[in-house]
Amino acid sequence: MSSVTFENVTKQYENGYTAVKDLNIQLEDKEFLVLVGPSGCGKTTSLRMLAGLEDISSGSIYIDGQRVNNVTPKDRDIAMVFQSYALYPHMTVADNMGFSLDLKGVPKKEIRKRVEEAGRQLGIEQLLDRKPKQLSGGQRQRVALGRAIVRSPAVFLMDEPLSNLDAKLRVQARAELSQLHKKVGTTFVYVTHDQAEAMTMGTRIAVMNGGILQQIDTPQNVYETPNNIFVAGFLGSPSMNFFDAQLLKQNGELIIKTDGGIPVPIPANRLQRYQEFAGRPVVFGIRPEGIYHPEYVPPGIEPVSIPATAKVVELMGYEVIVYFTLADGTEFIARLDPRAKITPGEQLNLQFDLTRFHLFDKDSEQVI
Amino acid sequence: MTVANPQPPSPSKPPQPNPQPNYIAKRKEQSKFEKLMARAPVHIAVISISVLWTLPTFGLLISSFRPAEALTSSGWWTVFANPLEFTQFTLSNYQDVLNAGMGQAFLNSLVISVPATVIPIAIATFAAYALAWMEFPGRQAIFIVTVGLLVVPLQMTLIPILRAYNVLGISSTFLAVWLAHAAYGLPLGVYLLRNYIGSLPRDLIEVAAVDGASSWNVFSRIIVPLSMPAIASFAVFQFLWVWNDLLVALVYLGGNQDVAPVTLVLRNIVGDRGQDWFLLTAGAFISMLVPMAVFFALQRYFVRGLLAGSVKG
Repeated sequence: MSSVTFENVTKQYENGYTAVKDLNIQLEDKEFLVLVGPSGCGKTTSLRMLAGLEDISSGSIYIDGQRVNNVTPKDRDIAMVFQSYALYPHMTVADNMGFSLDLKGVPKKEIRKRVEEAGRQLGIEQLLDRKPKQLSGGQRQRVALGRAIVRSPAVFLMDEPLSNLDAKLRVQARAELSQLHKKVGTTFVYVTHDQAEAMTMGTRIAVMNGGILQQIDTPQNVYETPNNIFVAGFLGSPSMNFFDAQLLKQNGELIIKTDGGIPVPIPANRLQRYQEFAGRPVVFGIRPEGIYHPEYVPPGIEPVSIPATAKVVELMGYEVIVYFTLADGTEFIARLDPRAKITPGEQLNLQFDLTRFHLFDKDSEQVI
Repeated sequence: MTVANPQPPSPSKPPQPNPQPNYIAKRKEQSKFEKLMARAPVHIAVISISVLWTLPTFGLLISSFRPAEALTSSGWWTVFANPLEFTQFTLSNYQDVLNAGMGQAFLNSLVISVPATVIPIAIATFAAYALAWMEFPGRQAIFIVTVGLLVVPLQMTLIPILRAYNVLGISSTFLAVWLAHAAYGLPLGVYLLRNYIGSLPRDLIEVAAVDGASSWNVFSRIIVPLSMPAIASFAVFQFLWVWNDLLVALVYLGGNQDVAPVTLVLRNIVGDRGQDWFLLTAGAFISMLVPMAVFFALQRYFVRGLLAGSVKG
């Protein structure tokens, strides 16, 4: 079993474009790391460097303590599942899954045994003699997984394997992958742009943007205590609402005043932390679920009343998503109790939960 | 205990539909006959072109069964005046052609054509894989030069190569035509195969590398099986070209009747002054048998979608 380490890894192309800048990650054995970020953030490039499919411009990658910069993919003891599955179209499912073992010279009986076992594990044992073109998308994805499992590698690498599945199948496959990780107990490195997959599957999430690692932590921590505006806005759907504001001293007391003129008092437990930033422009962030309808306020929150006008109402059934505008025209989204009957144009005094807000420095975009 | 009786669903008003604007013309239902008539011009055009195209070959077929005197006196369409009169047909043309040494010529043609097809395919496939998927300096230049050789007229190469063969002492042997045909076919082969192999998904080759395949394994177990459509189409093209070739055989093999292919023998049959031209009709159809068999046998390799099912989407 293994640990994976990225040490100051950088990838720069000949035309000067830097895809990955100084990446540092240390994975423990059996972790499920999810590399998540928008398109072009460098997550797939990082994965491919780990796989050996891309050269490393500078820095080192270690698998199991061994530096693998110049080791070919086949000698790195990894298995990779591609976004497009990349099944060999001219071979049967069994041949696809057993190909790597066949190349190593493993006897045919042994190959058959391991292929059948992996097939049973994934529920595809009845498909072993079919060709890829006779399979559905979900079945092909399992064959691609099976091909990786049969190798019993030190690290599983996955490049957006669920993005080609329909929504319902995707939810099912997510749970199956998590179960698989627990069962095989191997390190998984998983790349996706879908923050829901990142939140549900990873033991740790690494958020990347523009080639730079933004934050790496457990899903809970990254969601609840984001390091900067990018991470705060990336995780969570609908994403966090941001309001430009200033940290002002009013009547001797430190408050946040939005650029629209709305004062927001600061809870006592945070006053100390914000003292040194007084007078600075800031960004006030609050997630849609931190905003409540005045008639359905749960206990245990510190509400502050903010008046706003509803513009668009989306009934989800289990909640209602409403797009609001403040008096100065700033727009934001709130997830309200589904029992609230809201009509577009209605004015409401929304309750913002001050136990769950975030303050960011406007220039550096870092959390305060 | 009361049982809740299912109530019929209460009527609910549907949302207001948009009224259909009346400037949208309603489509008339076309009857089957009307549909047929609409497509009639296309059908007629296709059928007439097919008939026009096949007419000369059909005429040649009829002529090959007519005796020499009949051929010189009347056109082949006159047989239709009395289609069931079998005395106007004869097999003498075929007999004459076969007796003039067609058996050996057939064999010679095969011995020439098969290696002259296999050798360029082998070379071109290796070259195409290297040019498409391997990084090495000058690969673009090599590709451009090789394909650029398509421009060189074959006739320009005849004298230099014949001289070289004479020096090497291999002229009038099979090796001479094999090498020559391989060289003539390589530019096209490299072009076709390199483009096809270059269009194979990069993912497939990468996943094979991760699976542990060396360059040779990737080539022999992934690339070649998947390139069968391109290989088959080049094989057919090259085989037909070599089988029907007269010039190259004449120049490099001329003078040696033992190794003469079908084309050379046919030419001799016609006679020095072309007086037995009617034997060409039968000769043509005998000679046509092999290429047609090859074409129909390999046609299934032209099936598209060999890559279907490998890559999603």
